Amino acid sequence: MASLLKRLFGREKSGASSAPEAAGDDAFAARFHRFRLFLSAYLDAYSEMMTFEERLADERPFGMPFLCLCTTRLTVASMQCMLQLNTLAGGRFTRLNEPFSKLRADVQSILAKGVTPLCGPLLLPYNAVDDTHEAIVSSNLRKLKAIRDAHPEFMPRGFVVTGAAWWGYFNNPDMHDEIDRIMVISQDDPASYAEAAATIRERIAASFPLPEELEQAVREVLAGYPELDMPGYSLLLRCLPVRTEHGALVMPEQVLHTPVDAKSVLAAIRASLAMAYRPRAIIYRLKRGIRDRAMPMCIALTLIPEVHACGSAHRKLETLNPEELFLHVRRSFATPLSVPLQASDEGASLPDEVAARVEAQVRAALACLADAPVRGNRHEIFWAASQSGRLYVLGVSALPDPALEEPPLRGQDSSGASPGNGALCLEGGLSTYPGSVGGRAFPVRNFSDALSFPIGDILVLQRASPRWSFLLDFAAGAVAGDGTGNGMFARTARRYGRPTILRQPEAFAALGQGEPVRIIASADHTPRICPAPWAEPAGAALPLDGADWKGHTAPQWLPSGDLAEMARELAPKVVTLTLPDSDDVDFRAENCRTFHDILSYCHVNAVQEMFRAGTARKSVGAPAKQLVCDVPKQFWIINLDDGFLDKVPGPVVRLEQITSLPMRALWEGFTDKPWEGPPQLDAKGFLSVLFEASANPSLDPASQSTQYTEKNVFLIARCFCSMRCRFGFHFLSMDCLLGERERERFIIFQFKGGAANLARRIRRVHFVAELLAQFDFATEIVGDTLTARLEAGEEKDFVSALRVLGYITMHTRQLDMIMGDEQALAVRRFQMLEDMLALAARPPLQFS
Amino acid sequence: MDGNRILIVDDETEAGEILSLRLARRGLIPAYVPSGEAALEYLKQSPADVVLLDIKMPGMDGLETLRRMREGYPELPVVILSGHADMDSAARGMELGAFFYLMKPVNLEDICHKIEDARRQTSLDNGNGRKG
Repeated sequence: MASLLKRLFGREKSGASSAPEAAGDDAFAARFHRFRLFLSAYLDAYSEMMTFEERLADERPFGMPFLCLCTTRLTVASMQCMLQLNTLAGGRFTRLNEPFSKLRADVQSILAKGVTPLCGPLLLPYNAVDDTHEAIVSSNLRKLKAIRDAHPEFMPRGFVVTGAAWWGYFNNPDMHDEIDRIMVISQDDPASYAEAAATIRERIAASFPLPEELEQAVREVLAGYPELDMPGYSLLLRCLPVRTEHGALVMPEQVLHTPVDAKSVLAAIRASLAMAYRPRAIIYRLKRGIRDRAMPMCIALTLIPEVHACGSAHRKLETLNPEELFLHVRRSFATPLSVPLQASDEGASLPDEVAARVEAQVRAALACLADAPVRGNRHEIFWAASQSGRLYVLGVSALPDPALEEPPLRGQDSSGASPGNGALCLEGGLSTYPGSVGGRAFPVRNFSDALSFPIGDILVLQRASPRWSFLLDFAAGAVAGDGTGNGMFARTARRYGRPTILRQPEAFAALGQGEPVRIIASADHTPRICPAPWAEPAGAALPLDGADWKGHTAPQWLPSGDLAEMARELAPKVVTLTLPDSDDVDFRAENCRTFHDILSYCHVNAVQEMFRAGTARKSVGAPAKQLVCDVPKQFWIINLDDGFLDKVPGPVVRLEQITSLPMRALWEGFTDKPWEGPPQLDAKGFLSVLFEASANPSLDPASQSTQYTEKNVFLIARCFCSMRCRFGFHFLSMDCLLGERERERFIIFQFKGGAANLARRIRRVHFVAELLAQFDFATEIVGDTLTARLEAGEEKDFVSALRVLGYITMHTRQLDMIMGDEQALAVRRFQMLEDMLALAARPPLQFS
Repeated sequence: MDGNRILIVDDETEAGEILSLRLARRGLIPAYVPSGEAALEYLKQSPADVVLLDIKMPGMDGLETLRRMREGYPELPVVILSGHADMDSAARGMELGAFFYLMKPVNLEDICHKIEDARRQTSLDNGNGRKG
């Protein structure tokens, strides 16, 4: 540094010829342009780090595309910074490559987490499925084994395309790339999801056939189904999440009517696989915070003859009487009805004699499941029936037991549910799962609403469509204007134990977003929706790993999800600064462990390289020129490119010869008001200064090793200014670029040190930070060092901010000495703020 | 920036042609080719000031095309335009000497800025002063 300073402030050499001068100017301009490229990349990287940090603190979900995009952009910007630094420094910083390679490897290994390959048979006949297939077949199908063993006559023929087949299909690098590309373009924007989802499904259908092995296996199985060539059968395809915890996601069923050929079945299987990219599936994964490949699906193909009706059945939830059964009926998903169904407010019902037969078989099936009266072991079965009433059981799901989940509702009348004082309740509707729950109402109209649905709120819908079933995984309860007890939505509400009221037509219009409400759902009493005087944190009822939502805005995704965890693991590699201050002996390339470290290291050294370059510039005499000014202090100016109006011969430069907008704005703040001199010291302040001055070697002017002995230097170009100054016992640095592009405008201001003890110095940086925050600076304090940043904005705002910084630079001298005197400080704060506001409001700078 | 010759290499014809049209409206002189092989062939016949190169292409991919361009035309700045947020391929691209690696979706302004930066740096490095 000493030699650098000698060269920098040495006498000018004379007799330089004009041709080498011009060449030198061009080389310097090229160098400055590289420095600008460096700063541009540095800003890109910083902006990316901030985006990452903001999203981490945000309540909104993000997917893998966000994490990949962020880390890739950071990689590119960091490499650009390293490249430009090495070019500026003649390759002296290649030692950064090693820590950077290690950082990249660490980040890659974090990004690769959360995906476990699925192995096992690609296809399984229904009669082979059991609990050993937990990883590849939905529990709905696995639980059929108990019924199959006791009543094989209830089992339809069929087979499962397993999660292993699903994995194999999607484990195609080209498909990964294509899906990731489309998702990256959607940029986690819910408005783009529908389009992205449609594009992905289209690409899957057009470009990615089933793997040969899977196609061959399906063809072989289908060859054993001669019914496919005959009329009168239906082949039902259901796409089911393999993992029980993903069971709220309900996908549309497909039905193929026989006769049907293998090609059509294969196409239907592909369409079912592609359902993984329906908007509801994408949003569900986002809200659970899991990767695409962490939610395997399987496809159940069921061949059913002459299906007449289908539905679900379970024992009544609010009673222990095993005889009370709910038989939900809906019209067949298959052939047209030949026996008219009786209409009822449950949706549909069967003729008595058929219903009696179905009911008897349902009871027999439920009995196989060790169903009620054992508490906590209730089930709902999904069935289909022939015209004569022959039962086929299609699936089984476990139901929670309301008696175990909530206090019994019996006896809880209108006065027991905490409605608002005399507030109007909405009464009536169909209760699909009993219970009383309070929360904030959140109406959902579209996928954007669904994505922002807060965990633990009350879901409010116009219609209880299966499309929105997945939200029951995140809701405390639900209300809908329409729907049936037999629908997928109602079944999911039962399965997840969410108190739900359907067919309450006024609810959607009456319940506004955020309105506290209480749902009181019961089959034995009139369901009610009451305004609640307060909304308890309903999230407590959800399996959220014990998270406490009290006093917090509800997040829009599960904070315990894989992706949130991954982001938390990435954060120390991205945003954390582990590198010590640039004065520290450990400020070394090999100690860079994070992107933030790499960028800080590059920034400090790039600026220093530009200072160094200034010393080598011989074209206009002495590289550093002393500024002729009224301030009783010496300032040295190094012109990097176009910071002077014209060539400035001689060792000095006048302010009016300087064209650097940031420097001129800063200077205006410097000189606006003369410094009043040191504040009056109280006795403690004086002693603090005395002690520190004798104990801190950095404050010894004889020392040549620290920044405190450096001269006051400005490195300038028309759009750029880098200042390193010592004022009294504190050190200031400021870097500012005011490019034509909005993204290339920034200020980084650093303030550190002082003569008083550490406590007072820390108080001073807090004092300064508080003042700067009034002018939109983002501030960060570590010890007695303050870093303030301002990024992206209009030029005039930056000019105002620079004036403020100039004022701060001049008027915070020795303030640390009065940090113990609150009254004096308050007076000083008020005065400074008034001056700064007046300065900031001045018209734009005018100079040629 | 007017008059700079920009070679666009992208296997997605529609995307390449649209970008071509938009750059032409900005006063640039774009040429579009659909593959890495075609790009190298094009450069044998016609000069370019900046190349905008896609990464994922059938046949010769973007990284291999870049490697060959750096061998044959070391001073030709290449800006990678990729739809793939992949750290490894971005790092490989930068190591191979790409001027920058932009990720789609990217707005035209950003592409133009990178073209301008690349063009200016090449010009300054070649000693053409501030004319570039």
